[in-house]
Amino acid sequence: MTLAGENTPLSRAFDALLTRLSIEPRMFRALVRAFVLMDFRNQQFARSTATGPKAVISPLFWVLGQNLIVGLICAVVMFARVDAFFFALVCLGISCLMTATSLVVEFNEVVLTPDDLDVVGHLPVPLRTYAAARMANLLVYVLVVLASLNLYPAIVGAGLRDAPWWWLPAYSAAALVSGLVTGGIVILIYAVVMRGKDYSQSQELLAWVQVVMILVLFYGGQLALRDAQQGIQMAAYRPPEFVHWLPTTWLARAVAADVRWPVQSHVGVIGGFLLAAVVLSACVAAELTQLYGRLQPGSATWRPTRLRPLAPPGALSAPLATWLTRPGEERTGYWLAWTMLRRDVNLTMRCWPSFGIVLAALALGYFSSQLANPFLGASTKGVLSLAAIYLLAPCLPPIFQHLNASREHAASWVLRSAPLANRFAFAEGIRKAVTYRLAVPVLLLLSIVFIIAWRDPVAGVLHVVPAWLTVWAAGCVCQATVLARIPFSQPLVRGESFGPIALVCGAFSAVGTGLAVVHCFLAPSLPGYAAYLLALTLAALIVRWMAARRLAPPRLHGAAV
Amino acid sequence: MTKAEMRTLRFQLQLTGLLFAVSVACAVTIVCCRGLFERWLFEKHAATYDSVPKRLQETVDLLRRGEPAAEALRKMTASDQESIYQCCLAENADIRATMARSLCQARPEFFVARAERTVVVGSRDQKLRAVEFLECSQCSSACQTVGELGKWARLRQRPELSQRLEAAEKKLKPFAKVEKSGQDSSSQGERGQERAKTNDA
Repeated sequence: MTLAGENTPLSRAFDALLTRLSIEPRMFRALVRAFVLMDFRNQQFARSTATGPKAVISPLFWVLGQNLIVGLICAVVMFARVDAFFFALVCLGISCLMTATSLVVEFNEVVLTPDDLDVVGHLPVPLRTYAAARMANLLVYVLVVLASLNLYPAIVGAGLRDAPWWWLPAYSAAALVSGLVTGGIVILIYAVVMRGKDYSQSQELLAWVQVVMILVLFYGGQLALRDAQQGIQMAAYRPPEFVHWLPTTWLARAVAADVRWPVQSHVGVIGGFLLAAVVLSACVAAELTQLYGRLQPGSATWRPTRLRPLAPPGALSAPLATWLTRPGEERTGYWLAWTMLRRDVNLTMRCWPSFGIVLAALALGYFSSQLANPFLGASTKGVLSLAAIYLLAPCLPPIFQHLNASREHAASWVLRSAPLANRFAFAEGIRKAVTYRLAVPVLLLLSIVFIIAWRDPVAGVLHVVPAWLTVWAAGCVCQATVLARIPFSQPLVRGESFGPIALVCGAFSAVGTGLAVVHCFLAPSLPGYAAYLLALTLAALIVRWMAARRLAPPRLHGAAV
Repeated sequence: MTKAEMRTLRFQLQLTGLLFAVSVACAVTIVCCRGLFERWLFEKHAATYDSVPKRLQETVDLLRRGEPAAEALRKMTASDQESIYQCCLAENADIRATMARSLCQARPEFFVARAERTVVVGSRDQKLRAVEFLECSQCSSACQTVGELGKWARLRQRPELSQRLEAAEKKLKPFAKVEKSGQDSSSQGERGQERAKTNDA
């Protein structure tokens, strides 16, 4: 692409069209090119994709990859299992949801960009040309996102037995129309209703929707494939009543050529959606052009991110936390870790998915009736009830690894210069914040589910006691091996979240498997189980002692004399 | 290639294009492997006459002989009923017909719904056996279910299954009419059976 454009008949015709619309072709080309390049380099998704501004592979590339994975999992889970209508319904619904969240996340980069004032504000760019270039850029962005989300459903869906021959163009058109309508609605809501409001926190949360969606589809897909009741196929056979009222249902019926619908209905739905897309696009163009004309320096993108105010250090309001920690370094470590977990949405969103595997095992066991009570005897149906509790310890190393990095790592000199003499106590405080604030709620959930599944409160509670002991021991190992000397002092780097801790995770998994086998055979006998718990407690105490020794300050020469 | 060149718009677009091209290839491969996907569509039926638990053996024997076992079936747990259903589907056509009649007369709501699920999610052989099960059940709810399944099969363009379901619906219609008009009287049931026999003939 050159600034002057290629001297082809098509290019000349396009230039003529732009000139007719009072848009400067040369400026338009240059602006669109710059905007597309900035789309690739923008950093809104940088935190959820762990990519820096200088990375070769841009955040947008990873986002497109994530979208493709969402489409792939969706298509694979439903391919050959459901009919064309249900396939189209689910894929179009997910496409609309993801498009909406992408637009909200990138609103300040793709839709409204007050930063442009710095770059093009002083140049003689006509407002009409600027607005046209921004709209073209927005359209390209929406098209790329829609293409990545719907590529797999469009091609794989064509292979369904009941898919009509025109599936590929029909589905593509439906995805395009539904995406444009969704995009138009989102932009109008944000431009009109939420004008001038700070929504940076919600933007940051929504940036994780793709990652969460991949997790949900990945684990949910596995559950669906193992589901003895075949929930997906039965849902496709008899969809819930509310589905019939969704606009995507009407589109899906039109795409799948539902014979229950007369031809007029198909035409009416497609025509209605097309009309809505055109009207919404016109409204968006009018509204945004008006907003571009009113852009002033100092608007939303320049506003500093609001963080949760810091509580006074050491003054823990919760009595439980005061009771859990000792004054001094331990309480400081606890306060720091818990404050960072509460303030930094990005850190919280990195930590919680680590427990996804535990929750997935629990859900899989519960819904596939493989959550047998090990106290009633060793059975292969109790594998997932054991896996759910022993998978908790391998979740801790990634969390401790995440606590090493922070987007505010440049401020870690404050911590480096702090008078923290007892490193073990400080690390112990961080461990307590992680285990009591993150792991204990998961343990409680596990216990509640076991109580409900087995209708035996004592067994439900006793079953998770070894899990707590392993979490305690694993936390001690992590604070001594994974946690950096100065936490929150490293920048976020791709691959750093798992690479360095692969060995620790592998060791935890191996030990957990061994413990699960022992648990399985000792649980039916009460004395055997009591001895097992005692042995685990002793092991945890030994691990804690070793961690304390490792983190103890080095003894100076002659100090012992 | 330098890092600066890799960060140009041209390279980033090429990279994105490559990603899309690989995705298209993967999607086409998935479509080509449809048979592989369809091979995994079946219900796991573990129970047979020989493997059914001993506590259920007596009931299964009663059902195989066509004798009433309603009381025993009502007292059973859902998993035991499931075992008996799987055992029934594994039997040959005559015994299956006898068992299906007894099962659906004792617990129509459970066994008709169970057979309906097999028709929806089972393998080809399982689907046909489940249709036969419904056909032999001789109850009105089975007729309605078979009708719905027939519509579904036509929509999903499964001609063999939809023809089989149509035939089953025709056979079951007399029972539906009888139960609608006569509200479960045994004499009408017998008449229905007779009509069914006539239809068979």
